[in-house]
Amino acid sequence: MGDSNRLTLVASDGGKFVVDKEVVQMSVLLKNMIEDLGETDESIPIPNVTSPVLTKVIEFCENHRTDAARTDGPNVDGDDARMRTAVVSDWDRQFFDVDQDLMFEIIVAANYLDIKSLVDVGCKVVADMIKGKSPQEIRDLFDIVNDFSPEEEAALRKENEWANDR
Amino acid sequence: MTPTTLVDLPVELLSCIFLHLDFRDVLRCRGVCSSLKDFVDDDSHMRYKIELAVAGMKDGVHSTLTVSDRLSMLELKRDAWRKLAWTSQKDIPATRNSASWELCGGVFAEEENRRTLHFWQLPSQIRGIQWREWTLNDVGVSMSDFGIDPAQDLLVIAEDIGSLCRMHLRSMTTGMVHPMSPPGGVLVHWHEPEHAYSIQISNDHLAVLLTDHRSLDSELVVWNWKTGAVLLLLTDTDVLSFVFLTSTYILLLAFGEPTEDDVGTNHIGPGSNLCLLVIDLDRTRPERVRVDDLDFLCAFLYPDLHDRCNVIDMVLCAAPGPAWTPSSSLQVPFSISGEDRLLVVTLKIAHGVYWEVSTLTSFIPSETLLSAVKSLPSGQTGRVFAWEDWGVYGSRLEVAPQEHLLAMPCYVHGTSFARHIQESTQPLLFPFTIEVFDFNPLALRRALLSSQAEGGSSGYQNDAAIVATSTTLTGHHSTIFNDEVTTYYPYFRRAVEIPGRDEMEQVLFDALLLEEDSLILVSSESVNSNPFYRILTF
Repeated sequence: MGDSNRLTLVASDGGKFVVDKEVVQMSVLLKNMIEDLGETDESIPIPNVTSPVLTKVIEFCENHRTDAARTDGPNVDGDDARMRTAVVSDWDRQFFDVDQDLMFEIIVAANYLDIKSLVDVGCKVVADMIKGKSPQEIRDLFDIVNDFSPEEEAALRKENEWANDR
Repeated sequence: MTPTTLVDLPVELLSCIFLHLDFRDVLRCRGVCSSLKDFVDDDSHMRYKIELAVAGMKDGVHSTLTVSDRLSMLELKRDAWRKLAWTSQKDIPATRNSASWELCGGVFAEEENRRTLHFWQLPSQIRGIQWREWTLNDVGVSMSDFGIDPAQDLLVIAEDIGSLCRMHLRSMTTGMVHPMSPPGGVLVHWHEPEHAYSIQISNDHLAVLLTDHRSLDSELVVWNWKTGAVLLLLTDTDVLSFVFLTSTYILLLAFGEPTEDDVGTNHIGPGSNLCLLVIDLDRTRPERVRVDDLDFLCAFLYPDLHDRCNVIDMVLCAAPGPAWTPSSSLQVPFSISGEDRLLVVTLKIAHGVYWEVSTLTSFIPSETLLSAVKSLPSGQTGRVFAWEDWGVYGSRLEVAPQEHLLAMPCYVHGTSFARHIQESTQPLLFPFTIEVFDFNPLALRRALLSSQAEGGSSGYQNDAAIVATSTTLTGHHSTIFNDEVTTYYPYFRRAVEIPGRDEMEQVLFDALLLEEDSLILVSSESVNSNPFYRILTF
């Protein structure tokens, strides 16, 4: 019946996505699930992820399917430090050029689906947004409420003063 | 799924994001809101990141230890040096009349009979480094001097054949030609015979200073040792000492006059010619050049010396090199970052009516010079900084309580400086005093600010040893410079009395050497029948 190399994913809102097995397997969660299910025509529900988010996640995985072999290597976990220093590619940067809600939802979904490369790129993008900004700029950027009292804030500023740029 | 923002992310994702931030960003995030503050305060990765920066250390990427283990080791190391509480000591016999030795990157090396080299990998209880020793029995040439860089397994042997100097590039562990060296593994240089060497290595750069024993004229050669290309050939100079300020900047302690043509607003008065010169190796040409004709990046002047004043000797030193990274095989949890280093200039000066000899020590945190260099408009060279513009608040100038042995310039490591005070020239009963100064700018700023703050939630007030008062050269030392000299840069001072092996031990020590995990006392050959090194390990 169906193509054994393709699978159907169902988003939380019912949206259906037919995807290459190879691409789906970049998610450790889904890879394990497929292995447990064996050969099956059933579609796989992804209850925590909406269609717009799943669209983006699949777009990322399809673009990065060629480096899947590399990230599958046994020594990836031990090479955290090297992964951390790598720069975000232009494609990845454009991929994350979306509104903030979607950006964070992609990262959370990637974390849930256990797609290490996507989590890593997403975290790097967020870190780059934070770098060099003052506390107020960070609040403005992410719409975070300042819940410190003026006294607490002054005390914190004093506590961190030693680290101010020379 | 509900909309998510930064503070709603699960902790594992916040950790992943924050790993990419430097400690300044992390601290700024701490001031954003209480949930980010709690996250930073509870996450051992973040505490480790901050404490590493304050300690002037970088993470050891090859370590297999957990972050909390590394954090506690870091605290252990800091406390041990704060109290000068070493964990073990060991005496090793010194070769009699050894012509040369080196201490670099935790490896101590000594030459014997011009053909044999002994190496000791200095251990560390705290950082988990094992004691190791090995010997190259016959290096195959007659050594005049040598230099080492354990990070690259590089041994540079200087050999003199008449007026031909041959620099042999070898492996420190096997003695064979170094695999990264150009074919043949030898660099050559022509020079008048009878000279002393000073050899320093920073990544691809090998710098050799040759100083004539009689005339004291010197010549500085810098090679890219991997290609054999000459990058700088400075000749016929009064340069007596140099260090790598960064991987591409060389800092010279010179007794020449910077050219007066292009000093801009800064006028150089007559006689004010003791200075530090910065040379950018990316701008030099491989031709012989005299120091007066040198296109230096900038110069830092010392105050005008008094007319009746003679500089007898001077040494500039700093260690390890700016790009130092320990060998990956050691798997250290962390190591000196090299971002902040201390430069120490030692001056032996005869002055006053009776030509009294004094030793001055000038402590210069590298940030003082590097921030001045950074302030230069790009492309500008030849800028001269007057003493008032860099030295008064950016350094500390003091009279040493006793003479340093300038021939053993290994009393600086990272941002620290060490000396022993043993005033008699006769063997002394113990105890005597060891002093360690620390000029780490971040640690100083944190300690000074927290001691000003009320409350005392942090424990840094226990660093009672901050010297924040100024130093003025007074009394007969006021005759060294024309004007009164006062300096303000603060530092930590830690001192400890060192006991003897037993109550009867009497030894005279010539020098105290400082390494990342050790203090090494060098016994005097003139007094002790069996000279030795006493290694105090942290």
